[in-house]
Amino acid sequence: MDCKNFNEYISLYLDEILDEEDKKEFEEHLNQCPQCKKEFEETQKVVSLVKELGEEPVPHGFRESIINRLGRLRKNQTSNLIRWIAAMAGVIIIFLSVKAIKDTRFTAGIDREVMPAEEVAEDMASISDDSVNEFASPKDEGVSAEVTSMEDDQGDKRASTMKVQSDLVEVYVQDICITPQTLKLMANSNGLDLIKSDENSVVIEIKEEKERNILYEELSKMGEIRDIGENIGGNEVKIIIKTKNE
Amino acid sequence: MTIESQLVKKSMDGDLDAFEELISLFDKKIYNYCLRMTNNRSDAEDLAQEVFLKVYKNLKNFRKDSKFSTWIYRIAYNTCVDNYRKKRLKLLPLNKIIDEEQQDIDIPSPGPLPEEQVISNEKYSLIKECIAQLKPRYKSAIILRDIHNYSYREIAEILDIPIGTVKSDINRGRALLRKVLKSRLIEYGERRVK
Repeated sequence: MDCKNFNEYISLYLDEILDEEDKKEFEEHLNQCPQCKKEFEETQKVVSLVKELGEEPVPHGFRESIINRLGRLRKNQTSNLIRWIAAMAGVIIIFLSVKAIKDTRFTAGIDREVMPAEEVAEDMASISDDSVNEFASPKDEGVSAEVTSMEDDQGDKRASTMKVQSDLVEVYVQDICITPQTLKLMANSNGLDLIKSDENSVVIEIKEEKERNILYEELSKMGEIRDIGENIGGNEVKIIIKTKNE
Repeated sequence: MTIESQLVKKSMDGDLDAFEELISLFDKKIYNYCLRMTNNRSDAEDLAQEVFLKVYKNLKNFRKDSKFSTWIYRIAYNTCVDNYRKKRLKLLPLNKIIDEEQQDIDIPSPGPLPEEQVISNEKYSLIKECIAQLKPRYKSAIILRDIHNYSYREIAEILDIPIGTVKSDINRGRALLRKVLKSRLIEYGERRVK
């Protein structure tokens, strides 16, 4: 064994993992080479010094500090989850609103039933008498039905938010069977009070806000509603029945 | 199933009490490993805490067929190496880190180990300092072998290196430590004589 090999084997010898043959050769060289012997003894000394170092106690509060940090970590994760859910809910609401507005625009001329009250009011303001044709009834009832059924759950929810706003409403009917008498029966069956009626109109008393919704819902079943009165929120609503080609 | 693996399993399910128990099985070992790697109590505490936080976050990646102790030491080693790299970048111009290359140049002429001149406590703080100055792979091998009493095979698993590399790293590390310590002791002896 030469000095280089000896050097490489010092640790293996100290840790007693040399095989018998290498061990014998190592010990032979150890006794022959004073320089290597010195290095060996110094290394032995250093190793025993390191082994004597032992372990120090863990700082006070070490474990608690980790657990606290983990507790915070988990809280953050939970609140991040809640934030995420809230954000997703927001996105869904925006998506549905955009979709609803788009669909309403698309069907505006076909099916007023699904138009939100705000939009109706907005349109009312800009409509002059000669633009009545804009409200032409659906040429194809099938399309209307299809769109309505597509909109079923949203349409239903929105119906309850739509109401008659002003004191004068025109209902453009296709069905000539709809007369003031029909309106009287409708009022009666919905608990609405009839003030007066003539050959093409009725006046209904509004006692509470939700009656505006009921009225809107009922009238929309009969035809196209035009909410044209100047007095908004009054307690009397005059309903005039008009036919499509009027 | 050992207590260790039961605690690991419960901790995976988010049981913080079980994890606290698991910490109590390893905190002393991991803290002392980090302490010998850095030779700085405050750094060691921060690093050891980081190790346990990493362990908790990565429990789902722990392979049940491997030993938890091997895994946690590997995380500790990687954490210390990351820290060493960060510090080294900061300290590079004035670095005192012992490299193999410079090692062979500035070793003084061989003489007797003048340890008799060194009071015991100072001798230990000197050797701690010298260990911390070695490259991570060498000091890690020495710490795991001589302080934590791991076998060569276990060290190979922890550091994820071949056993042949462990053999040469331990031998190389001890030789470097001997040289550094010797030069420091000579320095120390000269100061005392003056």
